[in-house]
Parts: sequence; C-alpha cells; structure tokens
Amino acid sequence: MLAKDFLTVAIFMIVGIAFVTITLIAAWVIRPYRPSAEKRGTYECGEIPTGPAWLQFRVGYYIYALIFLVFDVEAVFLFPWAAQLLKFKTTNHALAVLGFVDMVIFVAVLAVGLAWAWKKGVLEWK
Amino acid sequence: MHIGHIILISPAIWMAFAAIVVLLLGVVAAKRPDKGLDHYFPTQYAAPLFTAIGLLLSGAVVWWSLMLAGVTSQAAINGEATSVSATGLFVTSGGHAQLTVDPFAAVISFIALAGTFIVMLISLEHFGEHQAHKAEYYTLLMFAAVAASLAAAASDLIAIYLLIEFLSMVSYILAAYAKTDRRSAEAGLKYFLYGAACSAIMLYGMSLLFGITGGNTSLSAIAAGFTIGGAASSGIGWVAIVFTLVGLGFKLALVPFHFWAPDTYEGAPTPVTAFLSVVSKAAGLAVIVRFLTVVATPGSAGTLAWYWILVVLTTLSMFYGNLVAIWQRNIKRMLAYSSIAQVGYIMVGVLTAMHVFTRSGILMGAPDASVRANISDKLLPWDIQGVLIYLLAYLFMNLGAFAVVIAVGNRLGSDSIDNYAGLMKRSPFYASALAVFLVSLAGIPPTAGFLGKFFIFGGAIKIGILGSPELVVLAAIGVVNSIISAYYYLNVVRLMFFTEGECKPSIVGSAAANVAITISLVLTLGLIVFAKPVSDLTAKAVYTSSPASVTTPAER
Repeated sequence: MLAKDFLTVAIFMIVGIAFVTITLIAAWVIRPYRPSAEKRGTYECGEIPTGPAWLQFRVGYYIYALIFLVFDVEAVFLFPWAAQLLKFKTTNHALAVLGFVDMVIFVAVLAVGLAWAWKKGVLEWK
Repeated sequence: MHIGHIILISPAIWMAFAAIVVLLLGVVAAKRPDKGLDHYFPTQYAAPLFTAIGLLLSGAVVWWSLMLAGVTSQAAINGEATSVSATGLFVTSGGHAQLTVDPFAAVISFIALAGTFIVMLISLEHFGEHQAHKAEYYTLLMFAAVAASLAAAASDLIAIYLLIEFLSMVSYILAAYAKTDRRSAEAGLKYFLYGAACSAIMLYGMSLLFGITGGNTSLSAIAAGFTIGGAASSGIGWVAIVFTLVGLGFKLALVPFHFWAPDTYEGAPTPVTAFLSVVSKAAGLAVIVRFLTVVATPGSAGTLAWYWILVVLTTLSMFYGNLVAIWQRNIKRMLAYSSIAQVGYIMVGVLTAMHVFTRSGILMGAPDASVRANISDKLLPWDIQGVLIYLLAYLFMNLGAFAVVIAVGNRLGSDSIDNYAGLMKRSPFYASALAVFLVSLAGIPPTAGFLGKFFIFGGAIKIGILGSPELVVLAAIGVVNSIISAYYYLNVVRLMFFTEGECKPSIVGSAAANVAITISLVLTLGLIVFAKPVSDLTAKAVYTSSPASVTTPAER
C-alpha cells in the first residue's frame, strides 16, 4: 500500500523533470537562431528595460504584495466554486445553497479586510 | 458531508463576527486611522463586552455539549448511512468529524475565552486610553480567542494545522505589537522564526502520518489505520509522531522547544505575555491531549518510544523551568521560566491520560472506543480531569499574577523583582493578591494551584501503582519541583512583606486591573471550595469525551 502510493509520487516527479528537459532540448534542436538586440534584451512586460535589476525596492511594496495575495487566493477559490455551483444546483440543492452562503461570507470577510486597508491609508503611496 | 450542530461553535462564530465589528469600528471612528490614533469610539470597552457575551455563549455550549455527549444519530453521507456523533461537526464519510465539540473541548474553549476576557481587562490597564492601533489590538486578541477555542475541538489533521497556524500568526503579530519598542520587535521575530521552523516540521510529520495510514486526515481514521500493518512500530511511524509533537511542543514551550519563551515573554507587551502563557498553552494542550490519546497510543503506552521521550521532556521541563527561574531578577522572565515548569506539571497529567486510555484497552483486550468509554468509568475519579482542573487553576493564578505585575509595573516603570521590596506598605491589596497567586503557583493549600497539583499527581500515582512506576516517579519529581519553585515564588512574597523598600507613594491601579485581579483572586481561593462540583464537571467532561466520542466512525 505504502510503496504503491509513493510510486505515484515518484512517477509524477520523473515525468515532471523529463517533460521540462525534453521540451528544452527539443526547442534547442529545432529552433532557428537569429538573435537581435531586442530579442536579447531583458523581458519586462513590454517596457524598455532601464538601469540594473539589482536595485533596492521600497519596503512599502510588501503591503501591495500581501493585499494582492489575498485576492489571488480568493480567485483560486472562486473559480472552481463558480464552476461547480450550477452543477450542484440540480444534483444537491441544499449543498448549493450552503456553498453560496459560505462563499458570500468568505468574500464579505475579504471585503472587510480591503475596506480596513483602504480606510487605514495603506493603499495610498506616500 | 454532514454539518452537525453548528451552534456548538457559536462562541467562535460570535467572536469572529465581533472581531470584524471591532475592526471596522476602529477605522470608522478614528480621526487619523492611518496613524491609529484618537478613536472617538471606545473600542477598548466594546471588545471586552463582546468577549463577555462570547463567554456566556461558551458556558451554554459547555452545558449543551454535556447533554449531547454520547448521543449518536444516523445520517446519509454521500448516500451512505453513517453513525454520527452529536458532538461532531463537518462529518465526512465514515463518520469522521473535523471538529468535535465534546465537553472536553467545550471546557477548554471556555478557559480560552475566560482567559481572553481577563487579558482584555489587563490590556485596558496596560495600554491606557490613548493606545495606538487599539481596534486592531483587540481584534487580534478576539481572533486569537476564536483560534484557541476552535483548536480545542479540532479532530482532524488539517483542522489542527490550520488552527494552530491561525493562533500562531495572530500571536506573532501580538508579540511584536509595540512595534517601536525594539524588544517587542525582537520578541515577535524570535517567536516567528521558531514558530515557522516548528510548524514546518509538524507539517512534515503530519504528511507522513497521512501517508502511512492510507491517506486519512481525521484523527479517528488515523488511529484505526495506525494499528494495521505495523505502521505504529515502524520507523516512519515513529518519525511521524515525533515530528508532529515538535510543533505541539513549541506551542507549549516544552523543553527543548522553549528557547523562544523567555525572550518573547520579556519583550512582548505584558498582557500579550499573559495571553501566550495561558490561552495559547491551553489550546496547545487540548490538541496534544487529543492527538496523544486518540492517535499516538495504539498499544500500551509503556511500549511506545515517544511516550518515553515525553517522560524525559516532562522531567526536563520541570527541572529546567524551576532551576532557571530561581536566578531571574525580572519578574516577567521569572514567570516565563515558571510557566515552562507549569507545563511540565500538566504534561504529567497528559502522560497519565495516555495510560488511562491504553490501560483500559489492554484490560479488555480490545482497544475499541466504546470499550474504553465503559472502562474509564471504573477508573474514576482521578486522571485526565487533572489536566482540566490544573488548567482552570493556572488560568486564574497566572493571569492574576500578570495583572498585578502590569498594575505595579505600570506605576513603577520597571519589572525588576527588587522593586517589589516593601510593596505591602505601598499597596496592601496588590501585595496580598500577588502573594496569593504566587502561593497558588507554588501549589500550597488552600489555593487553586494545590487542587490542580493534587489531582494531577494523585492521578499519576493512582494509575502509576497499577504497573507504570515511571508515573509515580514523575509525580515525585513534580512534588520536589514544587518545593524548588516555592523558593523563588516565596522570595517575592518575602520581599513584599518583610523588607523595607524605599518610601514611595502608594500605588493605585485602574478599575479594570482591579476587576481582573479580584476575579482571579476570588477564583484562585474559591476553586477549592467548589472542588466537588468542579471535579464532577471535569470528570463528566473527560469521560464523555475523548476518545470515546472524538468521533464514532461506523466501521470501527
């Protein structure tokens, strides 16, 4: 029982490593090689990169990172929930209502967090 | 999934709701929310009021869970008829509950809320009217109470991990709450670094438990899976249990996971220290009792390697805490070390509990939940109820001691023990109250601390003479340590009453502090008067609780 369960994990790891390795090697073999200055530049979401990357970031960024993380996690929960809710509406109505109420509470709690951060002035850049 | 009597966690739901209200009140009513200053609305009074209501609800839940204990019903879970315990919440297939609000959990939850209430009263004294970010402070305390109260009921690895983390996260922030004070920041950081490491080790242990017992997260399912295929005696089973105990040992500040405790206790704002030393520990103890008695005693406790590790750690905790406390010149630090020793005493009760449940299994030749329940009736009146009684006593005597330390420390501007010289002349009330709390911590009759020690050591000896001599030895070590601890506790009493301090004006604390001290004082002295009802209630709580009604899975 034990060995079989961990075999799944081992296969998952091997396939994961092999997939990345094979993809990179295949791309290296079949891709054409025509470098230009733009292609070799650092990718910064379409912006033209300026200055070195080793600069100090304002510590204030972490608050944005935290608030972003909260809503990122919310999205992770919301999508599968939304996808399943309609299905449950027909199969298990009580569970669907419960799920809806739960999610409303969850979103409301997060909204309170955002309202607090807003009012507290955390979102203002100073 | 079967939801169960969700109203059993109504104190936690109420506290979470109230915490959000307090948080919003704080920003809506503030002149300069960004500076956390000058609230128009006195959130510092709203929070204790809400907590008092939560405490009443919690008392009702204690009574109600006693009524519900042992009641089972049939429910269809995933289309399968399953026997469901009435105290189980969020029951999944097989009848495994994620939260079990059995009377044991209800009593611990009551202790957590009562502790939070007293901590709020002493916070009023400590921080005063113009506290920065006070709404956030009280919100965090209330969330910590929610986490502690639910952790007491957690009967599933995921619930245990999430709630312990919830409690820890809030505690880290609270420890570093006075963020402009370097020592408070240090306290928070130290606590966080130790906590993060221990939590990672615990999670690894839990993942191993999940793996070797066939993919179960529920404690009762793991207990069933742990006995088959030699999982319990395998090396990996050993590692899984010991790693999980690391995380729980950290919450209890058990030696050798205590390194954070003295610095964190000294640096954190004193009300937070009081909270960490009582409420946080009560939650950790509830989880460790549930974990050890349900999962980690598949056979006779005496044959388990981790049982012997715990025996050694308990002994070390008692000796280390007391011997180091003797040398402390700062009263907060002294109480921190003494609390390490206090956890050692309570762990003697927990180890006794491991024996009670395994012994009852051995006697009948079948470690079955229902059999254990029948047998444990015959083992009345002493064993793990000692843990509950001691926690009740510890709650009031330790919080009371901290309340006096805050009231006095605020007026003196120092926590040095030397400054307590001649306190009797300056404030007879505080001096005599502190004397009672310290005498109680030392376990001298007729105080609550004596009652707790009586039940714990009495229980250990009673179970020990049935064939586990190490429990008798532990009880003896506990008594020796109580004598050692009397030295440094009574030294403070001697300073207060029998030495001349510098003549300074008398000390008068705020009303909130005096209320907190009076409540603690009455209960520290009164618990022994109500020894019989308290003993009956806790006995009932224990014998209608774990592991018999931790869950009642149909297939077991």
